[in-house]
Amino acid sequence: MTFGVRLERVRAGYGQGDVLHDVSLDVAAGESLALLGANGAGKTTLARLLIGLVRPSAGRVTVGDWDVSGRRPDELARRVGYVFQHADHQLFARTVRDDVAFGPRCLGLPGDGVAAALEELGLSRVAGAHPYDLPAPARKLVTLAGVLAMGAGVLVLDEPTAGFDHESRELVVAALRRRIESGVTAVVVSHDLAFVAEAAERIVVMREGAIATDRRARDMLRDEDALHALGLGPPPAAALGLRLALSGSPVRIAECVAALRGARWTAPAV
Amino acid sequence: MAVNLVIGQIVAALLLPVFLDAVGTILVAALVGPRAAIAAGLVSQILNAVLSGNFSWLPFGIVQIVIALYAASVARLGAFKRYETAVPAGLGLGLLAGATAAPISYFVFGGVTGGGVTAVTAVLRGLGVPLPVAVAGASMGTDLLDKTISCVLVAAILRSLPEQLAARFPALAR
Amino acid sequence: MIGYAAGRSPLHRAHPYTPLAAASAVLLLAFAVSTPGAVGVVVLAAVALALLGDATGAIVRPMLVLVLPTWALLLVLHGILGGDPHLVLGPVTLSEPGVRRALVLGGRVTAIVIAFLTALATVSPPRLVEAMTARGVPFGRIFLLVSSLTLVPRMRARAVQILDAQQSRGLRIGGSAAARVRALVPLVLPLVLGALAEVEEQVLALDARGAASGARRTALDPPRDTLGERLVRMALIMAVLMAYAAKFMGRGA
Ligand SMILES: Nc1ncnc2c1ncn2[C@@H]1O[C@H](COP(=O)(O)OP(=O)(O)O)[C@@H](O)[C@H]1O
Ligand SMILES: [Mg+2]
Repeated sequence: MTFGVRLERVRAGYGQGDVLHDVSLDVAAGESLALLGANGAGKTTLARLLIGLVRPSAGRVTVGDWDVSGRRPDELARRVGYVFQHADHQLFARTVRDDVAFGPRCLGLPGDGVAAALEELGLSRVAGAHPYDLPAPARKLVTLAGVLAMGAGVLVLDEPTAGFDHESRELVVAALRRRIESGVTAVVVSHDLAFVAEAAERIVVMREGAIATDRRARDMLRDEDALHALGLGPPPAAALGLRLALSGSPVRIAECVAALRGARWTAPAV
Repeated sequence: MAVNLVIGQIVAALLLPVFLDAVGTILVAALVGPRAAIAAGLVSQILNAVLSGNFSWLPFGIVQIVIALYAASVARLGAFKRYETAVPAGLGLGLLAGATAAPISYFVFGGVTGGGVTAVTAVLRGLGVPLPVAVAGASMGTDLLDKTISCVLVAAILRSLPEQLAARFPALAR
Repeated sequence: MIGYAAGRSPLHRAHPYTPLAAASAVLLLAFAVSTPGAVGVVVLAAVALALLGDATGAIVRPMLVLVLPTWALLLVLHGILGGDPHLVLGPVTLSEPGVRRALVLGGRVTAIVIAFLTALATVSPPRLVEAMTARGVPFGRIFLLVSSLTLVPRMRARAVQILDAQQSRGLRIGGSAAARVRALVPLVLPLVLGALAEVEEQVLALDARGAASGARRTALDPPRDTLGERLVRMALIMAVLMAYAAKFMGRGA
């Protein structure tokens, strides 16, 4: 099953004043959206609305036909898989496999997603290891596997690749892309534009608790001025495409490769 | 020792009528030994008083010493290796801790300690039960539940300790 | 807020041991006396300490939050449910010995809370570390004290994160009593395992810095301790000793 996500004129905060002011956002089922914005802009707060850990003080948040208000986080977990920024604090089981199986067990799911999720993220080799004996990036992959194994129709990932090496990031990209192709809706908070380029079709920039920009990822990632305003720059493939004026406006590595293969090579004048 | 202080937060979220403020002490007793456990218990009791500002808890440091000594000796017997032995160990600890805490509760504070115990005391008292009996009864019932859960949790923690970490604690090897 | 509040008061400028000694003296004196009048004097002493430390603004809120519920409980438990004789005050009847007892117990708690909040507000942790170093307290012990103090707030934050994370993985917080007890395992285990892992890291860091070598360290800028302050602390110790001597010789207030 797959679900769209909708925020209608939402205000939300943590008690003293609103952090989000009148935010409306519609993410279609199967769409992949990246949230960008400075620290404190409200990205995490928006994401937490979707799992019911922050409650709207006005407006409505829906996941498919469910209004999130009136549903506990553990109920919403059937539809929304949420990976926290500091997720490795949640690990507790004696083996990686047991920890990944915790979510499915809580929801009463059969648990056949566990082995698949471990395999997808390259964790099969360490499935019997203790999570605390793994290095930090591997622990974070374990938490991601734990959420993938729950098979939710919406994935919300808060900074999923922070501190990752290239290989781990590739594993996350591949797993996420596979889900998106099968119709899963994805909302990722990330400053890692190389990851965003591979994983998202649409980019929303937040500023001071409101939506400042909402564009196609392909356009935004090639807009150097807009990215510089955020203290960022185009990801490698997009930068290369811009410098070489490649056709097809590539932003992903594979697109860049395809465009380079197709381009007529003219040696620069010496 | 920080464990003693922070677990209360989780307990409060679960709305359980227990404190579990001895988990850290029992754990240190099983991991390191009685002397470290006494230190952890006393320091956490003092810190708890300072951080929460509730200084009426200070004299309960005596209870933490009793807990530390008991937990270290049953840990030597392997009580925390299995759940079946952790439960009776917890009941024993509950009796002992309750027996130690009740007179402190009564003589030092006249029954006010805050939290579940006080509420139970007030109810019993309202029913016409004499104050010393009410304090003892409330304290004992809460302690039995509290210490049994604590001991089972410690058994669960020891079971899921990563080997690398477990190797640093010689008391576990016994 | 509970904690250090920067300032220029005499207590802020004093050697860190002095405010701590004063607060400890209030604690011990509060338990040495047992009549409402004498407890009232100890409360006044604690208030004087707070005024001297220019800390009243910083401590009044936490003080009320901590003390008012205690008073309410005490008045119910002893004032209303206490023994005879009872006083009739309009619509309520109060137990006379109960009220006296509530005044003593509540006064003690109030005095102790005020004194320790004042000490916390006026003793800066880095200066305390310097002072302890200068007195030859082993570095390892100071480090463990300070790190466990800083570990507590971090673990509190982590407890919140764990609660959120496990709920998002489908763990129900609530339901039957048995379910709630079972939920303790996935909540408490990550907290404890995380804390143990962190302590292990700290111990490794400590080893790396040669803390076990036992060499005495030199404080960079130890707070000054004056003769006057030493005398004040001696006087506090004497006062406490005298109060307990009086108490145990049966002439206590
Ligand atoms: N638990 C909280 N309590 C109070 N305020 C918070 C909390 N979490 C975040 N905030 C505040 O909300 C604002 C937005 O935070 P957040 O959504 O985490 O931003 P981002 O993820 O974009 O960095 C910030 O000003 C932050 O200080
Ligand atoms: Mg954030």
